[in-house]
Amino acid sequence: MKPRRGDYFIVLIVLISALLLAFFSRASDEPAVVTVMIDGKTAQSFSLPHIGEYEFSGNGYSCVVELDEMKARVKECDCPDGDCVSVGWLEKCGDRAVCLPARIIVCMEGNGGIDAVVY
Amino acid sequence: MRNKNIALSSLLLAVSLVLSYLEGFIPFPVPGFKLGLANIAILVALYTMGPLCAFVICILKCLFSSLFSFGITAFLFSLAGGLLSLFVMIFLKKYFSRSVSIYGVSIAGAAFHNLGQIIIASVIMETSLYTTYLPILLLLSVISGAVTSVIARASIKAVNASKGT
Repeated sequence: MKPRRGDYFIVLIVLISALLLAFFSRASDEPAVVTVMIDGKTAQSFSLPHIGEYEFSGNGYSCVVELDEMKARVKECDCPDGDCVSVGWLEKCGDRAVCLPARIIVCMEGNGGIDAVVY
Repeated sequence: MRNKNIALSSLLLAVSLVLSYLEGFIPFPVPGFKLGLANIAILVALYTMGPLCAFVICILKCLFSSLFSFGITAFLFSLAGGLLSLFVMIFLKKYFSRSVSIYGVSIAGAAFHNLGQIIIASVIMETSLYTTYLPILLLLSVISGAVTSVIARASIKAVNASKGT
């Protein structure tokens, strides 16, 4: 069975929306602030450059956030999926490491905070 | 006929559970991305027995697969993704079956599965995660949707052949 015209159309729509979303998430400024959010509220902000390791806990799990000059990462986390650690270093504005089990988000922001939020 | 559907439904439920359990072992560099192999069973149910059977299998699959893993958050995730993708697939199959084949239905289903999960993630985290993960997830869902539809199409052929006898 050959794909029909509507199939190509669906592929096109999905790819275009992916491109549009990627375009909106494009980083513009130099990162200036690393913000750690727990349960949607800002727990702590660090002005860059900054060096250090900090532990945060939420929802029964804890994450170690490491800051190294102009970048940051979740170094260790005892959550079951480990996605937040596998994201690796955050270097650009808008980069995020999200730990769903612990409900912790580490994000890079520019001077003006989050410059584009798309709902 | 009815008994055959019950037997096929339970078989497909078992298949979807095994597939969603197994794909947890396939490592992926993109956080939160799953191949969506369980969608094969849902597609087969939708195309051989209709929307109702697919709906029941989808709900039960979400319920049981979250029992295997961890708790209520996992259940919400799979339910949001599963139901959103199922409704889109039912809609496309019902109203656009002349122009959209199983390939398009499956790709749209995969895309909306990811969208549903990102929506739930954004709600739980009270932050917009749409721009962070959705572009790459949508890109991958085109590939995974195409792969699952090819496998599902072969399975549907086999099911229909066995129904005829």
